[in-house]
Amino acid sequence: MQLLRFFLALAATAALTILASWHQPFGSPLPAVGTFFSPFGGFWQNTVQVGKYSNEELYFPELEGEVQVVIDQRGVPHIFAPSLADALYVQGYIEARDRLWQMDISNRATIGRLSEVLGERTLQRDKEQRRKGLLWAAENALEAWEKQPEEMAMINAYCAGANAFLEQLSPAKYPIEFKLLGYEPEPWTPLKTAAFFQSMAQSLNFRHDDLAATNTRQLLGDSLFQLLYPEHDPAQSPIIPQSVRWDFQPAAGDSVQARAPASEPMMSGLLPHRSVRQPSPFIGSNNWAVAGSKTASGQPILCNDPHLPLSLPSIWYELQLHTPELNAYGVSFPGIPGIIIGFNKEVAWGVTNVGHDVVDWYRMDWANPEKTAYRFGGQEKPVREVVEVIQVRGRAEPVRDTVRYTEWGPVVYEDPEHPGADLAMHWLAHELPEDRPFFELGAFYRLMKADSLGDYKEALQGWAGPAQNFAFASRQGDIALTVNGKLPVKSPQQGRFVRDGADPVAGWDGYIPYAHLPRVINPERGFVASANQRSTAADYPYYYNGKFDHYRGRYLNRRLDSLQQITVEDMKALQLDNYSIKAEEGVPLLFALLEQSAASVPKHEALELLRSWDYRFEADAEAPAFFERWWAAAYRLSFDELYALQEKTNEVLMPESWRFFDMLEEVPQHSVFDYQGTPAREQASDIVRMALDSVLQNYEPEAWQDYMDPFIRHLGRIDAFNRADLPTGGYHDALNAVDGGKGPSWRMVVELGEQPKAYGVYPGGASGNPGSPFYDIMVDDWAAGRYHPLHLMEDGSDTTVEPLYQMTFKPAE
Amino acid sequence: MKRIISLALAVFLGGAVVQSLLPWWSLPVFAALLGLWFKVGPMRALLGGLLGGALLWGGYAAVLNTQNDGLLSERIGLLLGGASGLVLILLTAFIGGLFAGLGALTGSLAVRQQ
Repeated sequence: MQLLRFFLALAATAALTILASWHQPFGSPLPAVGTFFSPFGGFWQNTVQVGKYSNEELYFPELEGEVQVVIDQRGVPHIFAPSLADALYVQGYIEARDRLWQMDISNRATIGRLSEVLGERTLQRDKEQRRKGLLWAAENALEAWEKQPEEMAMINAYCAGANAFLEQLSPAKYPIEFKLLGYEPEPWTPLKTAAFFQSMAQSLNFRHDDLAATNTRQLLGDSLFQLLYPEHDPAQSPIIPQSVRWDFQPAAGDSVQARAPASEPMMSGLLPHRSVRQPSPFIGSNNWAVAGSKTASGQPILCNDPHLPLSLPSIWYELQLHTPELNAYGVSFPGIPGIIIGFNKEVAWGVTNVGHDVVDWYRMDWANPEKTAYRFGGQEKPVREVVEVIQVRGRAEPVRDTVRYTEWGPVVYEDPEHPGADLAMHWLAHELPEDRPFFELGAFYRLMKADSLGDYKEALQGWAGPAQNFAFASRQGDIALTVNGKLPVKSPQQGRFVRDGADPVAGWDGYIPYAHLPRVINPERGFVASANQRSTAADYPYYYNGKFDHYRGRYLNRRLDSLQQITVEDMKALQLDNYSIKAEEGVPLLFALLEQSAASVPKHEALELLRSWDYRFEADAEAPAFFERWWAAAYRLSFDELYALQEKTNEVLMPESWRFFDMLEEVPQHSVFDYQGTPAREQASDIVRMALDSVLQNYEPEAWQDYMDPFIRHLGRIDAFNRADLPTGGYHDALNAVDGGKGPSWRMVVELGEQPKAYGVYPGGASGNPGSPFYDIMVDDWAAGRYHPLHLMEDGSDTTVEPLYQMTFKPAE
Repeated sequence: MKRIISLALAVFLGGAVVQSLLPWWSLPVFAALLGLWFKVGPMRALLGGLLGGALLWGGYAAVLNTQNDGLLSERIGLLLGGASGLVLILLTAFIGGLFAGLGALTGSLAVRQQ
């Protein structure tokens, strides 16, 4: 009897123990209950003691000398090291300490290894990342970097530091996401650093409309297509002011006109594919520098606010790096050594994205049904087959996917039912970098230690991509902006549509020589500025196309033109400016058309609100949401024919909003405004009226922040770790480009002088641990438009910064 | 009663050491060894283990939560459908108690009762 009871108790205890050690039991999303709840190893171990910090002493044999780190009141490390290698070793250590899981998951997301830990739900995403060849791009970048000892030393020091942290980390202290998702961290490697770089190329330089444009042009015909989708916004105010003259001849043979076909050939047959995921079109950024002639202090001021998808942990990590040869402060990407946007005592620099299209698509002409060869320039060429092996959690066997690499690049789109519509991708990020004296990391290294315009010019020569607008200011009084990176030479219209993959001439004709890149130095107007708009006016001798901003850039140039005696506070206010030219032009236009419509204008409080609106997308204003609803409804009614095309094909290009407003004004009687749902023939004024009626029908006042819904999402989509309902205004077509889950990911204002006066904030915090007070320490400040002073400490004992605690890294005795 | 409290204390103190060194499932194993060693009846073993395990896990969780101002437990609570920090501590105590109790019970049944 007792024996039976013993075995029953044993069986029950053993069964429950096994059950409680089972990650995601019975397909539920639960972590292993026993492991997760144990206060000795589970989530309770991720709590940090609030308000209690003690100094640390650590020993690492790899270090050359002693490194001192002051952690300030916001958890920002100020690193003082005897050499660059030691500084970057400690940067790697501390970024791994604060952001280990972020580094891991970003890498998995980039190279297509998510399913290994997340299971089936990310399989399609992984396949797509592999087809896009992100890992191949990283391998190519690393192959070039490896030829450059200076940069490899930087990367190796960083990796060694990150791995030194990992080695001493007990499973109880793994970041909580590892525990929730039930997997373990892996060492950091140079290839992962390269992959992070390519993930930035993907975020910034991967937008393309080729498929949608190709389909839409076939369905509409070329003339209607060109009317709806012009390449130039005539109202645009370019980055490089028109005062800059292009005193060069485009390199011989590279001349655009020489190769221009009579017209871009039209393809026959619609493309059946659904587009791969693309970065949001509203990812953009602002940067500018004003010369001392325009400031109250007589010193130049530089500002930068890169707009990106907002996440917790933040994409940025703030720090100071001090070595005998440099002393720089700014933000880095966890996973990449050095500082990306920042300043030192002499200079400040910032970046925004260049919208040039560097992704083109080519239709494959297969030489056989097995797709082992393709026709190219009258010859047959073999494909290089790469079998991607994707481990999927929960599957015994990995998933295999064969990706075919061609002269152009990987065949990303394949459809077994339409082999004639397979598309290969040519993406600049894939190319093996040509030999240069140094590369991107070398460029940041040179910026960190720069003290003059000459140093800035030299540093940028190492930068190929993703192409960025580098703004610069120096204490000596210089300001500059360079549209910097490797940009392909194209013939007119090239890159807008899918091209014939069998024709070698369909490819790019080399690259714009470095000396011909658009740049401006110390312009008479006293400022340089960029907001992702077109780089130049139409007189630039090279053709380029892409997605460009149409409102922020105009507003920025207008404001900087008119401002004088500028102070740091003026610059903060400009970064936080919610005014939009889209509303300034759109609202009067809508009212003008409304008054032309046959029916009398209704009396409604919403219309009164809109009439008296100051065109600012403030958090509590009600006019902005009404404006958005009204013009969007008019847009949908106008382009109903285009929405109907979506039944014929997956990808249809929609006109940009600036073009819609232009057409309302310029061609109000155009047939595009005829709404197909009525027998009557509508004009723009009728459409505006119909849109108003539909919006007023269900009108309820709504504060802009409720409509726009600003929030910051946890990187792993764990909603409990989000920050939602943030009290902030903003608009993607205003300088303060907050738009739902996207927006200014780092705001920085630096006034140079005897000591730089710098201010910054990002919507996050140093720590990636949701159990740390530093997880979201700056989110409320960011939403309220507050900044923190950024102190460039002279040395470890500088009293301008009150340390929260200090860390000393010593070489082993 | 005295035996129950002794067992509970042994689970609590010994468990603290064992659990800091070994994975979470060392708790039922260790409690089983104590159940064997203490030679108490199955009901007493169960109660002693339950009490010791609940105090150990719940108590430690409560200390960590207090030091953390409840920052993490608030977020984990949200994740688990809106549980408060206190509920999480009680749940932790329950799981600790359950496994220590079951372990001790099994151990006590392994020896022939007088």
